[in-house]
Amino acid sequence: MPLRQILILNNKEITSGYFLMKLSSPRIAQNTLPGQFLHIKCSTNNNLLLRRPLSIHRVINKDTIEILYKVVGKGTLCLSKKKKGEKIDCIGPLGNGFQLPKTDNQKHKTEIILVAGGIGIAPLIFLSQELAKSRIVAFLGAKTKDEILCAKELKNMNAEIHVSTEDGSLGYKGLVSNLLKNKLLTLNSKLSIIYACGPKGMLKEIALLSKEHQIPCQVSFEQFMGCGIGICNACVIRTKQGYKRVCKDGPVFDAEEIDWEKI
Amino acid sequence: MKPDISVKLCSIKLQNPIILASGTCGFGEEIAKFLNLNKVGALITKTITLKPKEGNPPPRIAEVEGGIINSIGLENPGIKSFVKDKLPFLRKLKIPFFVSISGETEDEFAELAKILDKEKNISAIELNLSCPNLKQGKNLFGQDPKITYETIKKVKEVTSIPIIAKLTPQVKDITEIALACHKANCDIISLINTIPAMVIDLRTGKPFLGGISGGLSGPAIKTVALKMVYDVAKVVDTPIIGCGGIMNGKDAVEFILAGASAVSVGTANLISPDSAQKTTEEIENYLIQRKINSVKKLIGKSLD
Repeated sequence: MPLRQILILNNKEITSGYFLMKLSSPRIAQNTLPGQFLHIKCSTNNNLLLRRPLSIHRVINKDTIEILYKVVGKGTLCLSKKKKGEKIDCIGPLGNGFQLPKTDNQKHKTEIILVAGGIGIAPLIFLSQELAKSRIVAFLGAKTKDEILCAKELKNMNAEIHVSTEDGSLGYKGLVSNLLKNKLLTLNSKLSIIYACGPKGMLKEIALLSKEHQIPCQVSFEQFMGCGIGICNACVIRTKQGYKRVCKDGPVFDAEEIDWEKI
Repeated sequence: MKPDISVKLCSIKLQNPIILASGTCGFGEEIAKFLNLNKVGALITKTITLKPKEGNPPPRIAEVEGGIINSIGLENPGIKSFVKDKLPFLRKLKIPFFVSISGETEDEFAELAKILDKEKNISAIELNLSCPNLKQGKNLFGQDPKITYETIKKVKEVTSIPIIAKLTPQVKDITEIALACHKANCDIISLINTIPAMVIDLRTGKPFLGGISGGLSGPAIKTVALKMVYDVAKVVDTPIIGCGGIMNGKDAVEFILAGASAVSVGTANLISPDSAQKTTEEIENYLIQRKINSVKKLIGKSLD
């Protein structure tokens, strides 16, 4: 798999601190699966040596991909300053993506429950694109209403949307896991799958709920990495079979696999 | 005309001086998807121990000024699984590969070497002497000239495979350790390993890394490593593998001028898995620009 200098088509702030970057790459667009990520060199500065893993947010027209990211540190800050027309060094697509229902028939019958914590929404939009045949129920959680992202995109895909904010500025006041807990009691969860992405604490709550309601659940971890390709073993998390690499064995794991007590 | 970039480490011929450092290329398989391994000088495996090791709790890596700190904790599948599951892939390579080992006692190093001695195609065994000697509390093997000498001796008694001693920079005088290696007939000396370092997390007020501290690598340690290579090259004629913060061809040439016959690239592999290829091309360009027909002519040139 070659390393590529990829052309930036656009990089704009969509709401305070959140950016959407559009990249031109038919190779990535045609070879990536929902849940996979790019490992991006944000700077050539020696104080910013490591790449940053960012999941593929959307694939457009078989030649363009989008990355949705939040400025959280030096790396993403550098990335946010990149301009249209510049090129960035990306490795990818990398990692194991989400497991999707196999046949169209299964896709029709399955109810997809998406749970996003903050910027955790990023990979779930690409996933929704691939699951257009399914009924989608999305739970979006964030600290404030300004950080609830992609509600419009999901609405356009006919998804049912539930929102929670920690400050109560939009929708349910509290954590998205509590909102899901309340709604699971009323949903017909017989043929559902939960796909979740967000902070570890949230994923743990979602995993517990999925177990209680016997709904299959896949979780995608946000994790700082070393190499991103499975050689350095820096990004490991605790699973029931010992440590596993988020970059190579994940970033998507079956919730059952994770040792939530020790994480 | 293309310059000759091949070098020799004792009896081992390398097509170029770039070696993938232990712990930064796994056992070859993953990195092979990004880099043509048959184009590098050699590869050194992740350190193998007698028993499988699960490694340190995460977080295991931190990015700092001029480098990274890792605290992997020698996670590895153990020698048995290495021989069965990892060696077959390595054997298919057309380049030399070296197996890095670590023991808790001198005898354990010898035990590991004895097992590897029965296996075909291993070009060299690298002794990771930057690990604690259980008999000596917290002291590292490579901090004591006597222990270094005895460990190499014991390993040499059980195998005819060439031995590389990988030295730790945590010593008061690196030349003492190098002389002990030389006295023990060590075939190759590799230096330096990472430098102990840590990060405090201001949010929690606690050490950031799961293993509390780790090893600093990258550009920040280059000049420290360079001096140690230079000092060692002055006192022994054992071939040297220089290591520490080599990110490009210029860095590599500096180490060769300081006395290294070959260099190993570590942190750079983690950032870009194909960096070895770029570094090799840059060495070649350096030679072409200066009309030097062989990289061997640069080895130790700064000592003259």
